[in-house]
Amino acid sequence: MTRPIDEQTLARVAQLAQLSLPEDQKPSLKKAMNDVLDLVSSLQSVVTENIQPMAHPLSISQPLRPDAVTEDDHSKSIAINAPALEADYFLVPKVIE
Amino acid sequence: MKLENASIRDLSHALTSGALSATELTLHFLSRIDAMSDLNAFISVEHDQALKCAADADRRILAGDKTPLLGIPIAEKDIFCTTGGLTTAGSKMLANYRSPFDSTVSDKLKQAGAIRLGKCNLDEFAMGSSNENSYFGPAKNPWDQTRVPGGSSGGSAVAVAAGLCTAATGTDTGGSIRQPAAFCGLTGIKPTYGRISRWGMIAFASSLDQAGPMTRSAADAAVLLQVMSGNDPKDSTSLVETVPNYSELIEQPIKDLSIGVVPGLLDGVSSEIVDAYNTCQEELKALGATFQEVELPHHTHSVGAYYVIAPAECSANLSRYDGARFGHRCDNPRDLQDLYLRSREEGFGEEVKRRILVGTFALSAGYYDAYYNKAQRVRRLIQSDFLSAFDDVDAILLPTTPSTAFPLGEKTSDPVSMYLQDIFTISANLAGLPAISFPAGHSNGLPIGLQLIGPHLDEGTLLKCVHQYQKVSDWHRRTPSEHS
Amino acid sequence: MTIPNGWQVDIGLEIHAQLKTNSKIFSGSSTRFGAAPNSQASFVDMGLPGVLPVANKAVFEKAIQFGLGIGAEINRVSRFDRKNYFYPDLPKGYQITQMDEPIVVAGKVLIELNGKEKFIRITRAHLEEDAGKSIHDAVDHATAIDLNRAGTPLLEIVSEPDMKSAEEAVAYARKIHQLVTYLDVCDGNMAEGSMRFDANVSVRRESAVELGTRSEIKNLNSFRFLEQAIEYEITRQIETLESGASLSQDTRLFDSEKRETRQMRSKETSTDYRYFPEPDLLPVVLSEAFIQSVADTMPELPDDRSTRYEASLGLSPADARLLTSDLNLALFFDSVACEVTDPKIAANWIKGDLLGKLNEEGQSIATCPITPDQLIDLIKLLEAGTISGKIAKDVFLAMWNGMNISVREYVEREGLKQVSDAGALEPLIKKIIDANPKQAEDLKGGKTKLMGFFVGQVMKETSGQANPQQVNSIISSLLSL
Repeated sequence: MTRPIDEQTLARVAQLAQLSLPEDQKPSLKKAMNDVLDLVSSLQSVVTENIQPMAHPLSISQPLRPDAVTEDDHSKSIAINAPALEADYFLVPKVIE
Repeated sequence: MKLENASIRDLSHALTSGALSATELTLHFLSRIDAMSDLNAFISVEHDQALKCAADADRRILAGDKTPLLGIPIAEKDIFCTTGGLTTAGSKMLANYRSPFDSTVSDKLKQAGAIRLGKCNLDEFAMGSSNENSYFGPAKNPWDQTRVPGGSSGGSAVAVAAGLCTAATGTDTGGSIRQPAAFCGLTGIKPTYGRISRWGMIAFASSLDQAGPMTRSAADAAVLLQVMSGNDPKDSTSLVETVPNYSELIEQPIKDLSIGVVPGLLDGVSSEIVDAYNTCQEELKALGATFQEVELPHHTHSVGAYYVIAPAECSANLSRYDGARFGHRCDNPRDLQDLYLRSREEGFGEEVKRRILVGTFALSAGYYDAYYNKAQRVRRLIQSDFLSAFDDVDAILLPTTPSTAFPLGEKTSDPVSMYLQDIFTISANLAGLPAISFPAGHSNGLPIGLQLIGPHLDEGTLLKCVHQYQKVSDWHRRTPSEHS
Repeated sequence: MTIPNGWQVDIGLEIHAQLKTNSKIFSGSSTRFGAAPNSQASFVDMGLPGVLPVANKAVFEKAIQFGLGIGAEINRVSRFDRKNYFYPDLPKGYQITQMDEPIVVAGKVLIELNGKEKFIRITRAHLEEDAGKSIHDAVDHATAIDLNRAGTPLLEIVSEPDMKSAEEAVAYARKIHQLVTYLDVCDGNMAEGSMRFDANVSVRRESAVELGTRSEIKNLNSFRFLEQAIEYEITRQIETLESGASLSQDTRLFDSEKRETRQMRSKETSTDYRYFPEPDLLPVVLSEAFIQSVADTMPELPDDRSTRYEASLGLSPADARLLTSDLNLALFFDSVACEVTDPKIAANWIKGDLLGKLNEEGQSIATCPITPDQLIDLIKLLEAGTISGKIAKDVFLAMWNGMNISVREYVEREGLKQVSDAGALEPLIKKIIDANPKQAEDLKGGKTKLMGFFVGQVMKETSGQANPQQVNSIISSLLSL
């Protein structure tokens, strides 16, 4: 059974997902991910030629709403949950472009 | 009647007749919650808010309001955004989060006069089948406190089963209403995808998530489903079809209702559950239902498809938890990268991280076709199996779970063995079909649940079948206190 | 800039145009520019737990209008996708965009440069949401995030790499700018960020078949910067390759002070975006009736209008193009041209005097102090011979500086009527002829240029009010020419 998650792949995926992985967790994470992918591997045997992928379980289409402004100023509601706020701006560590 | 075992209808009569006030009823349940706090069913109990609502309900009742849910004490899974308190999603990431708006479900229940006693424990971000993934500790099955209540709506199941509230809301992405309902002896229904609005329901897997009621009977479930359902313009995926009168529909007989069974899927199911499955068929036949075998050739691939699609969607849905604008932020982030990496590592539990990683992998360059795209095609095949079957039958009967409630800690070191708990429930989520779990037996003092799956928008048939069954059986009336 | 010998350039532009709708693409927040920080960011825009997007009908109307304006196909079914990456101004950690099934595909626009016309192909145009703003210098030791802009609807217009020089790229950019402002799809205000350009630039030897390694220069917000950035990049790439070094595909920013491009530092630019269908939004299905209703409300396109001006009104191609360059200008011209006898006269006044004053004062037609009705009156007076051409110019200036009364009343009040009456003019002309006997003799003798001298004298004497044609004819008859 191919085990697609190796050290390198785990590191790349963790970087994409912005998750830091403590060293001691890496082996068990690798194993867990490969176990799930084993579980999933049976999909490969299913014949799906000419079958369209199904992103939504029901065939309905998107309702379009009228172009009206319906929202008020919510800037005072952000303070209660914001970890760092100044003059109604959210603050994050300085980003250098 | 014991208040904690009473049906919604009976309580409603007691309230409107003046035999009982909403405030008394609320106090009764609040004290039960406090007395049984070691079950860990609740993350937050809203004493003051509940009593205020009860006072409002009493005023409405006095004014002659006879709305079915008015004054009825309920609990909400802590995945629904509610104002006035915390919404944690069972996670350290949102342990102190205060939502500035209410979910549509919470709002509808409030308008209908239900009294929310508190927010229930759950697997973190609705990911899990045992409630052992909660930052706030596991909830305990009231039938046997060494065992899990199921998940992810474990706390909701415990609260109803232990008589801490009359009914509760749950959410179901791969079985998270039905499986805990089965483990705790409850009637829980996941309606058709889009029947209930997802506005304010913290997203796990957007194309699979659906809210639903967890109750002690189909009659109670019908009342709650009525209130919770309906189109919501704030949710683009919400259905526009009118909501039928479920409470009326369930009173119809099930004579000539044709039910499909799938014997080929019963491998690995415990013998007690197979027995219950067969016995139930006899009981339903006695009510006039007919049975025939149907095939669901792609059903065995449900778990595989689900464990690609759900993690993929969740990996994107959980990207917003980055410590920037709300939620957990690590101390003294050195730079942006450090902010993200550490806040997320600290804020998320193991199962959530595993699923984000699997999902990210399944969507990544070079793997998208083999995993995500493939899974969505298999998903279509799984749905079309059901649609073909429904040409011949009105509903399909399956077990809800392969076994009864397992011990705490038994499956925590083997994620895949946990995932296999959902082997019977996942397909209805993939296909967007309504499905109900109802009590149909006991095994060694533990409840057994069976499941009916129906065509899109046919919640009425499912509720009707279970209600008629519950008129001639009493599994749903059993309570843990009799067994302790 | 001339491209060095032996080299050719391939440029493609991605233009982000903010659509001129009242509310955002997926939420009911206002799109108004310049509001206080985070005062136009709803729960949906902030990406709070539990929120869901709902699509705005008007963004589709605008996208369809643009698509029709470039002769493109409108996809009856289009879909939204998630583009996943982490950045503080992207609240959900993904952008909702259209990847696989965009709303518009395969169009083209005609550009004109140095007298030559060329089609630039447009591969696709799709809808997406804009991100918020990261402000790096508002607060000490931190980056400030304002989510007002998050969720503003964008139409991303992607061209084929059909442009072969910075000038062509600018001509294309201007053409798109004209089209979107014409259609009222975008307000085109680049200072406010309503339109931004990303330029993909690569070079190759003249004989090479394949395109070279490209660099993408992001977020250019003026035609001038677009031109400078591309020219710098062309030079940089050619010099690098000529020195024997190789180029790597990269993303760059333009430093407008140093006038150079440099590589972006953030790693996010080379990330794997893991696009997948947006599960919170359903496929958008547009009916024929809807598309037709949008088509019915479209204004005449600039190129069509220009052709019509040439064909029906007899304007020159240059004049037609100039007058149709701005919709408001074209509408101004239309109002005037239909009321006067000769549309070419209207054209001349507008392209000459009116545009001249507007440019001088840095104004646009939208803030023009003269109304079409005033110009109509002026031209009618001129056509009727009531005032002379010279007087008309003076009256025009007076109109420009603000006139509370009608043009006619002004002419009356100031006594500016042209004098055409021979009886009034003849004695005056005779006097001037008598006062200039030598010039009269020379004129009689064939020095026709001196007619101008006499007419000029008469105009001086009459403060410009004499009818020059009449003066000419009286002089001729008096001198028996």
